[in-house]
Amino acid sequence: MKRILTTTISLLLIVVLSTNIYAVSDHRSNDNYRLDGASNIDVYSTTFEASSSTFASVNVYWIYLHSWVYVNGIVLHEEEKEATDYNFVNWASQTWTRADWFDSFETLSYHSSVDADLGDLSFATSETY
Amino acid sequence: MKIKKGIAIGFILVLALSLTGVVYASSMNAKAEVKLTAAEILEKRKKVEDRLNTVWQDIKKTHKIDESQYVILDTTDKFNMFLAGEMEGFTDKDLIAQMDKIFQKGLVEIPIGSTKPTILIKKNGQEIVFANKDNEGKNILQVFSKKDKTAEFSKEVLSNQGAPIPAYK
Repeated sequence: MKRILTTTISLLLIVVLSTNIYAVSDHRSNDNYRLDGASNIDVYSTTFEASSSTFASVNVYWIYLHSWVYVNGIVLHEEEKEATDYNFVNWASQTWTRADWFDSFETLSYHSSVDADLGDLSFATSETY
Repeated sequence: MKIKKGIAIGFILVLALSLTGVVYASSMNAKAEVKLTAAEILEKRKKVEDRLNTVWQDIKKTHKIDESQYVILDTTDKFNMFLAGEMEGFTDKDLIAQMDKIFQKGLVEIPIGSTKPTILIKKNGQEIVFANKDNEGKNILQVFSKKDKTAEFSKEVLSNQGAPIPAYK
């Protein structure tokens, strides 16, 4: 029983820590809450990864994330995520194999939250490599 | 007999360890993060800027755009200032709400293979334009405009054939 409890607590701690170390690129606040957003690019020798997220400090009516990935200024990928009555949307990291012509990488994300009582917030983040 | 068996096991162990080493080294090599100097990063950014500027010049020419009538939101900082209502001359709430609506409702289409769009705001505060080039060289304008301050925004798509997407060099 003690072992199960210890394992559960350890797993929960790992989850909490993993969430907290997520890179944050920018944020916007009003009097009621704060909206955080991140755009990430990691480039490796044969692959690259892109990811983004939007997080509100309280539950809002609607939260939205729209991201584009550009390679050398050309759209390679587009993705949008939304959630209602929620405070977090996450576009999990995706990995691409690098083609010979892949040189410059950019992810551009539009983050937004809508709430009639708490107010609306929106902004963009961009990560360029 | 026992010696042969020992040699065989040893051989299998060595082979397994070698293969594991090769696979591990390959994966580590593939995952090794590429580090660039500040100068290399600037060089890459300049190459992309040059490419997108060539595209923008072609769009301006084929659509006969008078750039002096517009403000270009060419950086994330500028775009965020606009969204926050902090850009001088562009604090009209309807205009900012329209920009949010364009993104939130997916009203602007930027398909795979096309260039990163140039976002323009007309100085009279009644027009938002997304300008880019598709993969066939067509110069596309997605124009969101209203006839007067009280009217609703409507969308119009304009397309003119231009030069192919310039080479990245």
